[in-house]
Amino acid sequence: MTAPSTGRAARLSIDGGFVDVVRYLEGEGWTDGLPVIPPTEALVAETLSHSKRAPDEVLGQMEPLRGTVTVEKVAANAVMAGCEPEYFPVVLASVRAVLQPDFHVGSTACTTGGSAPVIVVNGPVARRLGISGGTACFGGNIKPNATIGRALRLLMRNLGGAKPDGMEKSTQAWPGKIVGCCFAENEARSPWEPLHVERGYAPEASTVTVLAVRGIYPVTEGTQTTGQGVVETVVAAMRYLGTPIFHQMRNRIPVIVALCPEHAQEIARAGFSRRALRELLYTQVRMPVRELIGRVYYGTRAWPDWIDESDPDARVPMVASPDDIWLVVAGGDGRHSAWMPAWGVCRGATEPIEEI
Amino acid sequence: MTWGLHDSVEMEQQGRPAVTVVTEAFETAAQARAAALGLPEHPRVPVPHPLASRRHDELEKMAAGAAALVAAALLKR
Repeated sequence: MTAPSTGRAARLSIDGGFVDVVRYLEGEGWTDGLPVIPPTEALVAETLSHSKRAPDEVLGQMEPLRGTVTVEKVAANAVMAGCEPEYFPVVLASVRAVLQPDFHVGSTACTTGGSAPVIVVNGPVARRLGISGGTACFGGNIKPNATIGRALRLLMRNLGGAKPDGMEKSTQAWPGKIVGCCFAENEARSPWEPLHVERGYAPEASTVTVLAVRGIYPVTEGTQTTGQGVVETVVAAMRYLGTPIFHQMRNRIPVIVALCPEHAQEIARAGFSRRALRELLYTQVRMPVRELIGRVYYGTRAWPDWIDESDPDARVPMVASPDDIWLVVAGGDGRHSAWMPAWGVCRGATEPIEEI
Repeated sequence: MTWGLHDSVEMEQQGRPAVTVVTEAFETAAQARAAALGLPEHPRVPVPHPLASRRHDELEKMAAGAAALVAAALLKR
């Protein structure tokens, strides 16, 4: 494999038609296997016009192979992923998020654990760009959802070297490795304040909150009609043997709990504020020591001292604090929610979207 | 693998001899990562994969088998 380049993006002249150019890019190892739009200078320039940042501004180095991330290279990958130019501020914010030190993007890219980034979009930008937080928002072939996530993944691949012949070492991975998983919080149907407000931003601000997760673990509850009953099912579903997160508490990694609007509204009607629900999940989503000893990632467990391993009934929480439970409302009609555990050492990050 | 390698490369860059033991499944990735960290010649000793599921006595046997290679890599400089 060749090392990612640094500095100004190279200019190439490729002879042939559209398919020839796409095949050339594939041959160079610059795609994820799906067709891309060739990043011509004109398309990249149009994309760059949606940011005030200079094309040659260096945003950081993409771990693990430390390719230099410039604004121009982000634009080129956004074009390749199929993004409309006006999506660019969201892509840029997502890239800035994974470059935060606490994101540990290099580790998420090359772990055997198969983690991929989830991008939660909050604020008015979602409606303006048509980023869906409704029906099938995790995988409904909705253009901005699919292409914004794919742009981030292409960038991790092309500048970070996270490819299966190199640093990508996932045992199996999940399809989020191709297009990520970008969706908006369904703020219109949420009974609570949105995620970005809880994380310190104004309601009228637009943000991305990005977290590398192991996968999407579904929770169906179609029989219980009270919020209390729904909460009980969510809690039981998250007491799950086989996710390493119970052994990684001291790494301060979060879990996303994505409630569908119907579940969320019933839970709110039962009297739960966001804070109260997060406290309850922190208290109740626990596994007994006897079920975690000698299993999953016990050998490398990162438990705080207050957990008494000599007591087989001592209960180990999934995360270190209620603050590490990130509640979002997402999805359309129906009674299916989900939880998504962060991978290993990824603490995630929120970044404002800079619109012009 | 990545953090172990990162630490070893950093030690070597501080002038202390260091070597990274990696399982064969991670050899290519280790090579690429060492190059990205600026030390493509960082010595690595490959051992059979997998490691995590071995019994303690098997691990000791593997370690004994690799010890001479580790020593050679450390003393080469």
